[in-house]
Amino acid sequence: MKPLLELTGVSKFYGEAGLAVPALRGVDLRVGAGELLSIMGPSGSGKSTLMNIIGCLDRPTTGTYLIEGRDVSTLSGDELAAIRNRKVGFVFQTFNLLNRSTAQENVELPLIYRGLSLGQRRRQAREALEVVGMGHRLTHRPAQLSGGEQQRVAIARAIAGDPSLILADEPTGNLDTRTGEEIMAIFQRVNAELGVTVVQVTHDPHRGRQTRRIVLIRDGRIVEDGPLPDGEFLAAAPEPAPAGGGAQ
Amino acid sequence: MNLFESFRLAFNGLRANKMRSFLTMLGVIIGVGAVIALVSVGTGASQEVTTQVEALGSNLVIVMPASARGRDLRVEDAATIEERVAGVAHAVPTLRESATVIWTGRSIDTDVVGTTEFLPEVQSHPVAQGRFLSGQDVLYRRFVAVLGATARNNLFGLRDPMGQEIYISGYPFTVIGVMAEKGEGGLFTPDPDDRVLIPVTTAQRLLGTNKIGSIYVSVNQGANADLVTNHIQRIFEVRFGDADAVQVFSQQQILAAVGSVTGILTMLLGAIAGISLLVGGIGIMNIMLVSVTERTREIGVRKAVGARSRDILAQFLVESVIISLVGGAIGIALGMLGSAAISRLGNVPSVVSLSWVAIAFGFAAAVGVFFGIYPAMQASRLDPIQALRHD
Repeated sequence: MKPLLELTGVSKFYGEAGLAVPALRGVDLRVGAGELLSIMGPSGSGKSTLMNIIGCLDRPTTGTYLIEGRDVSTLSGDELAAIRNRKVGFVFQTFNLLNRSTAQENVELPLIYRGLSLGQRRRQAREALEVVGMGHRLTHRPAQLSGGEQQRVAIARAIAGDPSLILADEPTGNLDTRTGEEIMAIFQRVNAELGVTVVQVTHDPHRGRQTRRIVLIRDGRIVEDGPLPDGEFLAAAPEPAPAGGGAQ
Repeated sequence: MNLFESFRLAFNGLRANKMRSFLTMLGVIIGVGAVIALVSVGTGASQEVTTQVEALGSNLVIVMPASARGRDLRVEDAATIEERVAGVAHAVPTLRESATVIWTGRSIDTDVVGTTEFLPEVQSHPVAQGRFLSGQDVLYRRFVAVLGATARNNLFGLRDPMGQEIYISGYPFTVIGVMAEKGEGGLFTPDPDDRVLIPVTTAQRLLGTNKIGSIYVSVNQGANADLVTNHIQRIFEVRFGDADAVQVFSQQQILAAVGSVTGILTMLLGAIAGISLLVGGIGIMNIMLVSVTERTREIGVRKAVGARSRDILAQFLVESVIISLVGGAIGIALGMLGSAAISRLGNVPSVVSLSWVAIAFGFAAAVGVFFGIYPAMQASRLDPIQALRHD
């Protein structure tokens, strides 16, 4: 079976030739359909660059990158936009919702650029918001929502277009621990129930253990890559029992 | 993404910053409004002048001394023209002087015009009551007067002026007739209704002169006014040995000269107003650049979820075009109101020309596109990674 993502010898250099600073040096990575994995590494390791390339926001300087067997390393900006629109759903650390738009309008956003009709967009957006438990918040604006609720809307936006890949950049980085658990539970559920591949970038080992495979990157190279050993996987607890007991 | 979506997005963008959108639009509103109002007043003035010149009478040729090195005209010159120039019906000498006219203690200041019995015919200005001056009146230098409609109203009010004795510069004249009302005038040419007509010979005696002011020549139907003009010119050239001693114009030449002057005036007004429209366009560009900077992150998000460069370009370009088109429409409405107000308050005519409305609206649309394209390109060229990092 063909892998969903296939990076071969991918390097990325910034700056002018000669003075170029390498951010990635010969990365090989294969991700199968339906995987749930974390890319981990210290800051400056190149994991953001890797994520931008996987998400088709950027192109490798050398090497090839195939999504579902299609080489996207040489596509134009607009062609990459079309790939992002259909294949990739982004979830950001800072949510990146449009403040003037309602939850539903935010979730519709990728569908607008796919050219869907208003009715179709509304329906798909509502369904996606129901999946993340935000079906009762359709007309709320981001400012009226908590951080966790905003991230749920962002996940709904990522899954609304039925992508092959969800790319989450430090998705719990701006949330408290308990809300973070809820968000991770949604990723695990979306991965298991919808079969969508989820790639998370994080530096938190605990969050890493909530996915089934960890790719460790350092100085632009993959230094470790493997499935989580049996028994290490942590199911995220949507409603962790309070430590001291109490009114619950 | 289709155009409808672009409009929806653009409207939402403009609605989010209502005050700013309105102020930006105000630049276009004032620009377009000024173009419409000023050009309407200019067009109105030019039509007014044309009407007044046409009211002088068709097939009219006017002879007057040149202003710089002019030579005096005589009554005999009018007779010479009438005799020698083919195609001339009548040549009427006139001598105009402002004077005080008194009737039983009431006095008005008006123009007293000395002329002959053919003036009604040459100026297409008929008598309404009584009779006009006769050849006998002119020949015998009689002290008789015919009143213009305005002069008659000012001096006599509701009373009947016929047979009354009026005093012009202290000399008594008998009123023998009243002219028909010719209609308004006076802004660009002397008011044809505010004058008192007396025999030219009597006027010369009053002023102690033997010259006259100008000669009104009527050309026969079917005769060529240009040929008549040239012939008259030649007669005076021979007599004075100077081609420029006397000016001879046909009505067409006056219309052309006046038309070119008022045309320049209208263009000038339009250009001044056009500059303010240009400034309005710069305002659009300024605010769109600010808007693009402020919404960098939004642009990043849109690009990340699949907006192509042209989708972003369309969104921002449509915003600036909406500003200019809505501003243009409001500006046209206000410009029409403004021209009506100027025309009423300033008592000047104004004519809203549809072609100028179309030009102003088209220019506003062009301003929206021209000044909107650069900020929209800036937005569409943003790198999504950089844009998402922006705060």
